[in-house]
Amino acid sequence: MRKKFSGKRKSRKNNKHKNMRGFLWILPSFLGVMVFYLLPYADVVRRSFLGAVDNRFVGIDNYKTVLGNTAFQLAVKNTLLFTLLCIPVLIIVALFCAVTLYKSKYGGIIKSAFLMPMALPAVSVALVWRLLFHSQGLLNHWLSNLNIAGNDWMNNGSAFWILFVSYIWKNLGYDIVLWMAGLAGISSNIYEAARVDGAGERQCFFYITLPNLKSSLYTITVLSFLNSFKVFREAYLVAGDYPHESIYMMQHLFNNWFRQFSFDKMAAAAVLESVVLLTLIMLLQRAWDNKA
Amino acid sequence: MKYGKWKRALGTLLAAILICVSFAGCSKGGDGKDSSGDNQGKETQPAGEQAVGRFLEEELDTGIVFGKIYDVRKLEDGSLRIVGADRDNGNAGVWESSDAGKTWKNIYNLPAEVQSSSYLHLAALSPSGQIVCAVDKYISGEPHSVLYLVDKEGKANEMSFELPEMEGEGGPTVSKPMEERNIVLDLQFPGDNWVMLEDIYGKVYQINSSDSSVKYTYDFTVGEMAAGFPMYAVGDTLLKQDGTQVLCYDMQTGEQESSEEVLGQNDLQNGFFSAIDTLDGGESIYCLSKGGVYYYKFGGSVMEQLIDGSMNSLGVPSSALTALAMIDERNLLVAAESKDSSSETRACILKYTYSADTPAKLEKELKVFSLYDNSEIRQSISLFKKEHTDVQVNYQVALSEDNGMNVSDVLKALTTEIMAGNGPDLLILDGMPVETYIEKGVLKDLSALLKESGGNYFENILNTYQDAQGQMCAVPARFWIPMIQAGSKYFEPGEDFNAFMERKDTMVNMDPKMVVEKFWYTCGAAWQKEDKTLDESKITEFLTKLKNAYGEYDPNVESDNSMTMTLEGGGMTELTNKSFFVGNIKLLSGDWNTNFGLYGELYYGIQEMVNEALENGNIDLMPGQADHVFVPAMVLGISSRSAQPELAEAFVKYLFSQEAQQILQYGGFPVEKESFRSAIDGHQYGDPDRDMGGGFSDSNGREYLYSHKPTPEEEITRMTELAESLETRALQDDVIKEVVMEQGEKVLKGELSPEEATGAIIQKVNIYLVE
Amino acid sequence: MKRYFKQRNIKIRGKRAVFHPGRTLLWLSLTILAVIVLYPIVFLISGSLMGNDELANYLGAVFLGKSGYADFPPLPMFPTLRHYVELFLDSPEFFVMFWNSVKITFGVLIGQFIVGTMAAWGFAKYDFPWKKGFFLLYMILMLLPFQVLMLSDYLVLDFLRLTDSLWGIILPGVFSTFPVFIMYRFFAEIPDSLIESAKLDGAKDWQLFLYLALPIGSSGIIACMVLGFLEYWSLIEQPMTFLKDKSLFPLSIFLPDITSVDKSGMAFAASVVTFLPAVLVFLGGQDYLEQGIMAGAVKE
Repeated sequence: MRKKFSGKRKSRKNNKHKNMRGFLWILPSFLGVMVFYLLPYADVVRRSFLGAVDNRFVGIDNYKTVLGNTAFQLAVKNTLLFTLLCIPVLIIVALFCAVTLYKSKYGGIIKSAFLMPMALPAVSVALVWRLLFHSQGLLNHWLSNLNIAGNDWMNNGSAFWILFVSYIWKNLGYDIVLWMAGLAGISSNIYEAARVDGAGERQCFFYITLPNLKSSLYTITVLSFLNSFKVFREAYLVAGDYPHESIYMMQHLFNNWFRQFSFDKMAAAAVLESVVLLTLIMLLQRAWDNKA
Repeated sequence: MKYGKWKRALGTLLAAILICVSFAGCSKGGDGKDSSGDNQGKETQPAGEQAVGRFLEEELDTGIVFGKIYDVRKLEDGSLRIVGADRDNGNAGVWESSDAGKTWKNIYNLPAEVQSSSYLHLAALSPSGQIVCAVDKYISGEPHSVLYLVDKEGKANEMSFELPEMEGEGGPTVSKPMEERNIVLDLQFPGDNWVMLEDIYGKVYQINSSDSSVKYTYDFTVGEMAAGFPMYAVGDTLLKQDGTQVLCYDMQTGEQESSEEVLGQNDLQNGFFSAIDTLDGGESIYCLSKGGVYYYKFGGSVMEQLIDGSMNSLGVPSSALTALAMIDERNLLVAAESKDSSSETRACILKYTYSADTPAKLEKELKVFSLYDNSEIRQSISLFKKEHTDVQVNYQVALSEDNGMNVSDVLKALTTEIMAGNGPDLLILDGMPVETYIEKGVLKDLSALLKESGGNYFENILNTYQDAQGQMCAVPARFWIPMIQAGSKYFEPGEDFNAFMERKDTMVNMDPKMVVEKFWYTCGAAWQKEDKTLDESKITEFLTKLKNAYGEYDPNVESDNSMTMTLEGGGMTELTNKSFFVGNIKLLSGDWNTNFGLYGELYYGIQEMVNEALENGNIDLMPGQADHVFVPAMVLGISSRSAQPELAEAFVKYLFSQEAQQILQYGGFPVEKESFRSAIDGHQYGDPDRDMGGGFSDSNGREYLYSHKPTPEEEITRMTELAESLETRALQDDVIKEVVMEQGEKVLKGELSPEEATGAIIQKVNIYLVE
Repeated sequence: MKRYFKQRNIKIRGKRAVFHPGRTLLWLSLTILAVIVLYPIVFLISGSLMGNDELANYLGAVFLGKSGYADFPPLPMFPTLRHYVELFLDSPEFFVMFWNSVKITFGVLIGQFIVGTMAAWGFAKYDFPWKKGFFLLYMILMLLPFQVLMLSDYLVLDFLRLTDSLWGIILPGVFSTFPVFIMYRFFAEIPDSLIESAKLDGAKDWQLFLYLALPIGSSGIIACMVLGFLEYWSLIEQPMTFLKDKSLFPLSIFLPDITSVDKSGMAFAASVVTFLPAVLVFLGGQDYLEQGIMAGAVKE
């Protein structure tokens, strides 16, 4: 390593040295990422142009097959629907809870209660789910006590809503915590000043709280999005490879393709998915940059 | 902030408790951890360098053909002795070797009173060379167990021990002899003072060899199902195995000392130990089982495997191991019995010698993979290995009772392994998505191989997976025929699905899931349309008719009708619900009015008895939406990424040879015609002097006796023509089958309407089919 | 420095808010919601304390195919610790799995602590060419579902001889890009002026990292570790794909076959035991979670 320049002077030269050093900091991580993520990813990209087991070059045939595949269309539809529905609902409900809990004495306890489900292992969640939503399960028992006809919950359209509730249930506490941290970042001076000016609670919320939380939104969205993938675990553990069609997600499809040696389709779909992710992140980041 | 403190304190407290508990548990559960550590060590070791050191096997040339070997032992003076019976002249005698087994000479024959006009049942050697014999004698027409003590020179004295009969209730636990008398189950002579005798009621007697008095009686008649399991005596310790552990008793005091759970962990497949020996007066022991030879030091936490039974003839399923004699730490003898080519029992002595410079693993490894255990494959592997001694055949059964994996997990793991190039060479495709595998190019073409082997096969079955180009990537070596047996009130031969489903009471007392599974085979084949999706109307028809015929669901029906069959050499196999064979008793006892299922073995005697018991009894192809259905079994495929393709081909060729095809372990009919004939003709029952038969008893205690007999020529012809007429392959896809069974069961139980269930099936399966 | 501490002060002050009478209803509903949220946990705990007969009685409809409905009281009639005893004393494989989980989790966390913090620091406070590109790459990799890379991952691990070994789980975890993303935001918040002044005092790069970044970033790092703990403690897909040897399985995929009733008690007990460490870590790390994750996103 070259000798370091000291002092505040920011010459181009100095910057160049910084370049070296900056990269050195991320080098260990990047090497690992190369081996365990980028290399496999490159392999996936390569495979997306090859036949499944025989590795012969097929051009963009795989992409064509995948896009025309009805199972793929179903999975994309479900995944999109789930994401677009769950994340906004989760974020709004969590914000609502956070604002309520934030200013109260016992908020901490309730918040901890909301956090608990996140610590519950997926296997246990699946166990509970199976008992609750089985056609002879607890939910139907309670309903029959109320003289409402039961349902085989996991085997009809309600499966989607079970998954939806499951996701909210698991992540609500986490998002509340995130929002609360965001709330804590708003200086109380602003509120005091506003109150002096005669602003009511409602006005405070809409004109101070919300605008100030905009920047937290980005992180919360990204984290909630990340966690939305994890509902697959519960869905898989409860309903297996072929759940009801309403909760047939991308991961189910990947899993099944994998088992059937359909690496060609799998790789093409994976590349498509990462392109979508890339666009999404760029959009989010742009939106955030504009707001901040 | 107060709350935060409280919370943190609680957290810390709980953490402390948890750590304490887990440490406490670890000291107890430590052995589990240790063994896992060992495994890791073992597995990583050969990766770097080839591990060396292995016991090599040789069969000793004793110069005698033994019909039976009762015991082998190294005596105190260092010589080796065999108590055995010469197969040629039937004489039982004692042979001695003083050069560690190189040469043997007969030192005496057992005296006449032990041998003539009686049957020498068991014999055991003591360290000084005395022998105790259990002899079945006829005294005034009644069979009687008598003990003889034979001294070193061969003089016999009758012992005055009288085997007590069990008084009161509590019948024998092992097997019920017709005469209901007590017999000696096992005999051991650990020291010169004591003879240990176990009877069939589960009692062990410690008998003083000088005056025949009983010093202690160990009672295993009640409790942890120890009765019926073998006992072993080493030094001053009596070991008694039960289902999960080994109980140890001190023979000086007659008290229980300890129970050794480690010894009980010998995995289920190996069953119990066949024999135990010691070199240090009982401080540590050597245990023999089909899994190999194990070493255990009392109080230790692991049982060390010295010899891997799967690498030599110890693990051959058809042989029985009778005795173990340790010469020293690096040399040992095993007495084994097996049937030779003329199916007569032959006993031999195998010697194992440690060779420090032989690689611990055999050079070539052939990996065979199947979802479900296949006894024919196991048997074939050991026969194959006899001709290919340098090959280690590694047979992996993915779904076993205790590993809790499901088909999907297993297939996923298989996929990764095959793609990484370290997957199995030969796949037994039963239950796997064969067509997908063929389509994806996972399997190699076998057509050339089969042409080469040139046997006479049922081509209709053999070629079932042949594609338009003539490629055969998957070939069934066996097959089942769905058949039905019933009186004419419930079934007429040749009747079709619609007619059969019109009848009432054909399926009373049957488990709904089982019914759906059995009809899935004969109907599912008719469902698939040309675009591979399923025909909705056919499924609705299937479920509606099945529900009509099935009638009301009675929640009290027995759901498990499987039965366990004992195989040659002591292995077990389970005949599942779908098998035809398990329904015989139900049909006889009148619980069922019809019996249908997968037919894979023909016992004419039984079939005839059942037919006679029925009103106009008949047996014919099972009706279904598809006609002339067969279920391929033992479907073989070689992985296109196999590391040992030649070896895998050699094995497949062997599996289609007559020798392998004629192995019958309830796994379906052979696809080779000669073997098929020999499987159904009952030739082994042709000898009129040997009346072979058996009986069933139903839950009401009624007995049905039959005698085996050769199958008449017309029945053989009928079956052969039947087999030749089969043309529709049952849909072999467990994913679809599982969905159909799940929904079908609900329909028969009345929880869903056939239309709803069809909707659910179509919805799930069609995603699968278009993926 | 100052700004960072100010946040804490605000939080304390924030708690002395006035109660609103109209809020009571709202509060009530939130409390009810919390109880509903907690129900499955109560359910598991009470199930773990029931005897086999009781479980068979209540859950037979689901597991044994009996007719009628499953039933489940919030408290066991005849509480027993039998399943815990069975789990701790009679099933050695449980401990093997427990330690495997511990090894995986702590292996990953230690690795992330070293590799992840360094990378986050590099991204936060240094400029280098393509930095934005690298960071974008990290984010995409963070969001890719496991199934996408499953096969290729396996091939790489197989090439490195890491399959069927705990390292095959730990190493990819160590290089996960998620912690970098979280910690980056935290480190970015450290004011440049602080760094400049430390540099003026003659601090070297590594000193800046050790004595400035790590202490100030501690709550972010802890938050990250808490999340990491949860993630790797309940890992499912990776061990199921990469491990074949049952003696290497972690706790998270331990679920005795619950279709047989004598095992369902074990399943409940195992669930509770798996849940406990995660809860403890959560309770202990909750405060850091709040301070840590959001710090980067909060701007005044």
